[in-house]
Amino acid sequence: MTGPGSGRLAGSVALLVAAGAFALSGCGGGAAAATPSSGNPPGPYVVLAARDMAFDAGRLQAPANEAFTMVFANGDAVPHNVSIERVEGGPARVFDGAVFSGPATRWYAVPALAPGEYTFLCQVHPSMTGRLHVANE
Amino acid sequence: MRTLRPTSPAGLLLRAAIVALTIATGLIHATLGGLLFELNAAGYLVAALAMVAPIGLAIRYRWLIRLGLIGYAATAIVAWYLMGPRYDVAYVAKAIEVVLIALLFVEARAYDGNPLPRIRRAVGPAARA
Repeated sequence: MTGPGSGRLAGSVALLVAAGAFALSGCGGGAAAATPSSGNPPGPYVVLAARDMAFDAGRLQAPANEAFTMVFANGDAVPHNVSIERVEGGPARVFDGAVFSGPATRWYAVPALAPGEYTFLCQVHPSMTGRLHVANE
Repeated sequence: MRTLRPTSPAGLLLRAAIVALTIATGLIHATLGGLLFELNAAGYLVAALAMVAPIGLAIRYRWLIRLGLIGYAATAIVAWYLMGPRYDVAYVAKAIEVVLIALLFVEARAYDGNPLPRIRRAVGPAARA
């Protein structure tokens, strides 16, 4: 036997679950543009891969003051991405690549960066990091 | 609210929703890889089990399990807000956790009332010792 409050509570529960379902259905995808890839990207590019919860390179180099493509191959079945943070003048995020699960490869369109040292990292697994050296070629 | 009982249809529905949401967010975390997420997933799955375990200790301390799960989910949300990635799966997990916390509050309010006297009773002997 249930009291009069039970019906109201059941309604509240149903409303909360419905609100959650609505929230789930409405949320959408990632950060910066990532393009499904094939072949070589136009213009300057750097290549990076993730495998066994680690990046395959600890140090990358990219041209300064010029947009470039980062070809990111996620070889893990778990989600990874590449974000880039400026090192000098305190950490500041300058690029967020979309998070995606592998095995898959995406092209990230990275905007022009000023010369200097940057850190690249996976936002999902912040222990995955490396250095990006941006310099005039 | 106080008329809700664990064995009533509304009470069973509420508990089932809590357990389902706890397992759902636990499974999502289990797919993310890395020790931290695996521990997080294990915590959620243990909490889901503790919410329904028909053993005396779990039943006696269900109020504490509820509070712990509220704190656990809230911590996961805050940690994600501070340093987590913004992408679809993360938003799904956080939405689940928000609804989970809301349902836990509903259940705690219905069954436990003010938790402070219980906490005082539980920690009192330890504090005196």
